[in-house]
Amino acid sequence: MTKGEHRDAVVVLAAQYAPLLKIPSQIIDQFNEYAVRRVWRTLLTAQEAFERKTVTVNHGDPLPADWVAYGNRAYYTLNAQKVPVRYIPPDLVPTRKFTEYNTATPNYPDFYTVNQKCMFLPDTTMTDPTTGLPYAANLQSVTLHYYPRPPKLFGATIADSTDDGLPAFSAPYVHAASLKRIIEYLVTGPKRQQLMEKARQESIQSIGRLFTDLQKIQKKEVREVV
Amino acid sequence: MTRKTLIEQIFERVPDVIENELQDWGTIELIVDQALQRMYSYAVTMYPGFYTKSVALNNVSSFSLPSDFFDVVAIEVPTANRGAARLLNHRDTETTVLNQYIAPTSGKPIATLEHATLEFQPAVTGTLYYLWTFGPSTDDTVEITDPGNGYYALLPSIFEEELVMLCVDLIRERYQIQDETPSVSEEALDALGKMMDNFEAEREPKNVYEKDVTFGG
Repeated sequence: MTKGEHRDAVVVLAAQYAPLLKIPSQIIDQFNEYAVRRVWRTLLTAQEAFERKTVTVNHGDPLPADWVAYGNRAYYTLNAQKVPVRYIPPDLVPTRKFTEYNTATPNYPDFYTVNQKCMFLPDTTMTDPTTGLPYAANLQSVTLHYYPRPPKLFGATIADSTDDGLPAFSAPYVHAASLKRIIEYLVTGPKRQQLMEKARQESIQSIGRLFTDLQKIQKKEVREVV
Repeated sequence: MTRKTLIEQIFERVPDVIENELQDWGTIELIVDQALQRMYSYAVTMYPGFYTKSVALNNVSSFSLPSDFFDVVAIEVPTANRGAARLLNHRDTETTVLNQYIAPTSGKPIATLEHATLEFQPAVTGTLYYLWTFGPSTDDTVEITDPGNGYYALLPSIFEEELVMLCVDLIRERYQIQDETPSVSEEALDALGKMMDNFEAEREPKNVYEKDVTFGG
């Protein structure tokens, strides 16, 4: 659904639920963006495949500008075969680089993020155990899956025709989440403070759940490697 | 989103501030910094990989910590037996140095975090991986949520709305901005809340992969 369609739908919904409320369209757009992201996070944890993007990167390339989190899938081509590249947290880098029996090799490569860049092992600081010489080159052309941020909807320069990128069935929930928070936003006084604080905590908890779920998958993969 | 865009977005949501309080720019800057710090504490816990930086160590025994240093992640030392230096607290450092069986050697170097330095015994060459943080700023070009293009993002992008809303709230609180009271029934709020709760409950991740599997009988 587009930015303009979302706005119209929330105006209709507001007429039903809060008929006396005067809501500027700017406020509606702003909360629609919030609601799209909230619904996006819910859908992502439930069915993570619905929104993922791929990018081809070399060792040391910066993270894409719409990066949210690693999508638990990366591979590169070695001898005409797709070799999976596994995610490791950065604290495992020394052990995967230099510890005997546990080093990354071209057949068991690793991916990690440092300096907000995509990094891969083995790299040229490591020695190839088969030749005894340092690796000649870093990993190139790795296909990396990641979860991108949803499209931006708020802001005067963003056209009404901008699509939210969500499946159509989610639209009523976007409007409900948006209007709920608009009402919380427009209530005055201490009641408003309570509602906003609660809404913020809920939202941060849902962001937290997203990262926890992603970390669980990543840790599972690391255990498989080690 | 740069810091400039962030402040623009905040002002779009609190137009009263633009009309009445624009002179008090310093307070707005302070509020933005305060909101950024609060969001950072959430973000770094959830997503430490986003906040890891590396810096080279070249035969150093006392390394002056960078200004954005927050915590040590790992110390990579290629010549060490296991590729890394041990990070010890002060008590363990004393015990280790005095004990000839576990004393630091070039194959088993140790590191201790001091107030402004990271001390190594013996001197090491390698890479320090650390969590970074950021302080107050008045630079409008600082990138807040979009990494890449040579910029470090201060926060992962999904914290963007929460950050803007937190700033708006803090500003409203500071300037005591009151909205007109709408006639809103509690039922409307409840009905909308239930709609969202149902939606999220229906889509709770199902634990299908980690089910206990039983074999036979």
